Amino acid sequence: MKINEYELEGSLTADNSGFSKWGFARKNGRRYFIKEFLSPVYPVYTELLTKEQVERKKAGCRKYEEKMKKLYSDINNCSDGNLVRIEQFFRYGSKYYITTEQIEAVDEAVVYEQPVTVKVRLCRVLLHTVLQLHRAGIVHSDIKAENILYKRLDSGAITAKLIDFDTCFRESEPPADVEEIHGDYWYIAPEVFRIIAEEKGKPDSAMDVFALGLVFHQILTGKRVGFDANKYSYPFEALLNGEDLYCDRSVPEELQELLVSMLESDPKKRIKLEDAWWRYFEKNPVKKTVVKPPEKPAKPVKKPETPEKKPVPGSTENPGIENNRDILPGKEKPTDGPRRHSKLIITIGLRPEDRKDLKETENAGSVSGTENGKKPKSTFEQYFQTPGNL
Amino acid sequence: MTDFMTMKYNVDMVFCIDATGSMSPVLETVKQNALNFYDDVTKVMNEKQKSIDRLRIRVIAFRDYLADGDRAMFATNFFDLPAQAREFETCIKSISAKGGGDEPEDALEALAYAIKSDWSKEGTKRRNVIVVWTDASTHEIGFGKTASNYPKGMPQSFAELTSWWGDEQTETFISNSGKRLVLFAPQKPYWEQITNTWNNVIHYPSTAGKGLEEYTYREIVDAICNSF
Repeated sequence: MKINEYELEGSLTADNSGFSKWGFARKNGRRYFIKEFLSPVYPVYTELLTKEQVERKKAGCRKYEEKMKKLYSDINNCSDGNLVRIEQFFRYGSKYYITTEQIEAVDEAVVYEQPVTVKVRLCRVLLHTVLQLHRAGIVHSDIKAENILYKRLDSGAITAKLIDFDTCFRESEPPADVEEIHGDYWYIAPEVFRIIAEEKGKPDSAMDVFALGLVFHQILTGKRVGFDANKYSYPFEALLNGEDLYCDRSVPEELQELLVSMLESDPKKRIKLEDAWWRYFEKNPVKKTVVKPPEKPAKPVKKPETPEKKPVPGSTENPGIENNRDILPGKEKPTDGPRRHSKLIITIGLRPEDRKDLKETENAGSVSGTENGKKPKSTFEQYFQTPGNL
Repeated sequence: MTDFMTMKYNVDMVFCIDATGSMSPVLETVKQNALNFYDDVTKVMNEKQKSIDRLRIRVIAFRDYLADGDRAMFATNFFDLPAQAREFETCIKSISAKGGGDEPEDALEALAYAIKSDWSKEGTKRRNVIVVWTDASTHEIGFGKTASNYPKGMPQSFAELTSWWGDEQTETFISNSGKRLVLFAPQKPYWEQITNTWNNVIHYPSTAGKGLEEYTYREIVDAICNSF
């Protein structure tokens, strides 16, 4: 099947993609990544719609096209070579598409096996890349390990490429509606959660810094940052509820302070990438990397007694506090009671035991028996009713 | 009790199931797996490193107003899973694939009911997913309006139904950002028109008249989870 001169290699899939379908395609002998967006949709069956609907939808699509063409062009222009290149953005029929260069990616596991000097260099590459976006006034807003591809250069060295610009926005024009704030919850910054939950405030480039800090920890240690997984599912939850994140002791000494600064809960105190670049990377500290070997095995951590354990999505570690828990220099040792933030008591949603809105009629399957000589209801009739007028 | 600041991701789903005769294959598949559906969805979501805090499912079984009269349209309330997994299973197993008359069915009316579901407003993040399962095309909306049991208040046209679905500029009965329409349906009217007019639609084409037998249960669960 062809989409605008791109010959698809198979069908597009919605796997691991909330807002699009994607796949690979060939054009002029080159292979590209292609993505079809689920929204907006250009009206093509105009005979089925009112004139007002057609005009409104077309106007909305024109505005979207202008906005995205300019944004994608600016992304390409600000790239230092490590943002995956956007090849084309176009409409074909009713749908919008984007094509980008296709990267022959090296498996993430290979990256984790690299010497620490290589990993630090990859962090440097990524920080510089995201910094270019921020200098152009663009927030990526969906930085996560899955949106970084590693490519082996002709020299044999490995470099990193940042992909997926679906949810990028200009810092001067943040999403108007909190519903338009997307991203992987694991990487969401604490303030972004508050914006979503409280429906006020605007996200900015600080959210990328937090997410990038989490990614750096993964690159440098091969593990996700730790927190009390008995109580929380995501790092931002731990921070918002006054608890710490725990970094692996294998994080190189010269980057530990940077990580602490990037994972700062308060976005106003969180380091900006411009500062991070000049303070930690501009003079290429790769040569000065000093990794202290562990002096003794990490202390086994006694798991706190809790009534139930929450599963940590995707975690291969045992639930509970990480065994190699360590406190980075400058951080206080954990104590009982609140530290930087007091405990926040805000109801966000309802827990199962709190739900009182379920009416008894929703508990389908009421026992039926012969009442006053009436025929008992069938199983189907116990659950299904004829829906009434709308 | 202290409530912590935590993410609550709530998903409401409405299954619009074609309950006419040819749909036996997929209905049997869904019946066999109904009890474990919540666990299967949770497992797939965990593989994607995601989790759902609350999952509710509502079922609308549709046929043909003119051919099936009083048996043309049935709907349940939302089942809360996993607490009501057994009731959900019993409900699904009570559906019989029969009737239908001509090839097109009255799926657009089922969609109208689905769009106007009592969607939950709770949760930090919400997803409202409508899944349509059919191996047939659909009549234009209002085709069966001469039937004595045809409900009042139905959209009068595809244009009106489209306005009920909403878009980036207008939101009516369902959240624009959180909504998804997953179609297991043939590439026939009005499914093609919906796919190319409404936003946030994922269409998995099926072979007409084959009861969706080309899809395995795992593929169906994967497709549904992708919409989350």
